[in-house]
Amino acid sequence: MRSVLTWRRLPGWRQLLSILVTLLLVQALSVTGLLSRDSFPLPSEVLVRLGELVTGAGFWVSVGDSLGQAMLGLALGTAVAVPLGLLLGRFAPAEQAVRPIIEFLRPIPSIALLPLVILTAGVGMSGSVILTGLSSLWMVLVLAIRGARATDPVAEQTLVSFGVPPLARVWRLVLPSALPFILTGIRIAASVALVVAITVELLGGMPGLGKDVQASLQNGDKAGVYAYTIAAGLLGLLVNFVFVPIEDRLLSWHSSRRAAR
Amino acid sequence: MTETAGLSRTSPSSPDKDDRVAILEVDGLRKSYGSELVLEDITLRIFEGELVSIVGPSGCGKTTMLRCLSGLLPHEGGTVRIAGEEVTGPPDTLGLVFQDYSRSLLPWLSVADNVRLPLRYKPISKKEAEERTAEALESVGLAAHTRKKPWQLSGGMQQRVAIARALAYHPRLLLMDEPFASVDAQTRVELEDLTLRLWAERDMTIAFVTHDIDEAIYLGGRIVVLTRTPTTIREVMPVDLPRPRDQIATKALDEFGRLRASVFTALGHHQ
Repeated sequence: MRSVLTWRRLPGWRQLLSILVTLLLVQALSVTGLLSRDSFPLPSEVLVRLGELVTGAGFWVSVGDSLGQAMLGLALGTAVAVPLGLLLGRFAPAEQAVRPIIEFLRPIPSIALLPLVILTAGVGMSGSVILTGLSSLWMVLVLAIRGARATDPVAEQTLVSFGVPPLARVWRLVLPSALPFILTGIRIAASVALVVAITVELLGGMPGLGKDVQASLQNGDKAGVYAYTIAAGLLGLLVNFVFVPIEDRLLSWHSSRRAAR
Repeated sequence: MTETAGLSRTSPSSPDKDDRVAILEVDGLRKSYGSELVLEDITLRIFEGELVSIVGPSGCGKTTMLRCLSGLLPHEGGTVRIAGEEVTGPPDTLGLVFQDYSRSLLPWLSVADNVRLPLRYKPISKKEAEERTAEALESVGLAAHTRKKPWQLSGGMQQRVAIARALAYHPRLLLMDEPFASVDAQTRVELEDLTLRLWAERDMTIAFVTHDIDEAIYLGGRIVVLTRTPTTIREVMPVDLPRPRDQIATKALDEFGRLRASVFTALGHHQ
């Protein structure tokens, strides 16, 4: 446990202390009856419930389902968004042509498309992946377009003058220049994809943590509702933390990350 | 490195009496941005093995001219030939060194990878690319820094990387666009002498654009003085200073002072 807690960027002791104080406060409020036990189970009960969950196999299948739907959608959305975004970012006329379509589709919440998806793809994994994929696509696309424009014209002219062909310039220059933007987009899109996956499970009944929350609610298992919700939140934190060292490694050359000399 | 046959043909419109081989032939070059005429009728020859300095008042079309010569910008009148080939896009006989080294080097590639990158797209073997990279970095004194990232080096060393990249490309003509304008005075002196050494060792042809009169005289065998925009050639002056040049001895010569006064006057500065 200790080695995990000293790991950079995980909450330090101050944060742990504030979490502990909050839990104790809620516990006190519940025990004294200031908070209705009907809506707020004791934090200690929730933690015990969470403990039961993480030691059972079913919970981890749900975690795998939720993560799988989020990450597969993220991967597919990114695979489309990066090449498309670089293309649109480099060719202003193309970007101008499709901008109205993007600006119309982008603000539509993925969840609003859930009924459409259930009608066409059903309530399996694929329906969920369509929605996590779409939400990731818009997020990464907008940043990839912006990133492609971050290419330094002097660097571009240098490579042109040395006869580096256009596609090679995209791979060797435009993509690395856009990478800080793209990775930020992927990191945010990963969290959003997880939110979308769990929401879709909750509302549409796709397998995963969201479905478990819904099932607990229907069974009157209040501690379970809270425990699953906390688990979903922790999963979101974890997804974010996984991306930070990846970004650090890929962008060590970037001026914002160079060690001061 | 002696001249090969077939490249000695000259522009039919203006027969060249000189029997030296013209590497760069510019005839009646014109360029404007919208309604603003930037380059007006530039005609210039640079011969094989020459080191020619090009000076002009700041804000004149020096950079525009270089971009046209290197095929990065289309020109609207006249012709540009490099090594006998008419320039329509960037020719592979040309190497460029820009002023802004920090922007022309790629920060995510190592020093060696920066030098090697253009060679990937030349019809040469991987082994040869490797050898050329090592040799070029050795000759600019960076053999010990090949695995570093450019931003881990000082400004002067970064510009050496850019020079090595151009050298490894084996250009017939090396165009340098105010290459030392953003380094400190001490580094500048070192890089000037490095340029002279490489030029002498490699029998290269260099066109060196600068706004620094002393630098133009110190390096050049001839000095091309440009006018303000619309830019044309004001004067071409031979530099009769002995080689090898020396930062102290050469600059102390009477002839150096005389040339400085001439260039100064040609640039339009009046006493």
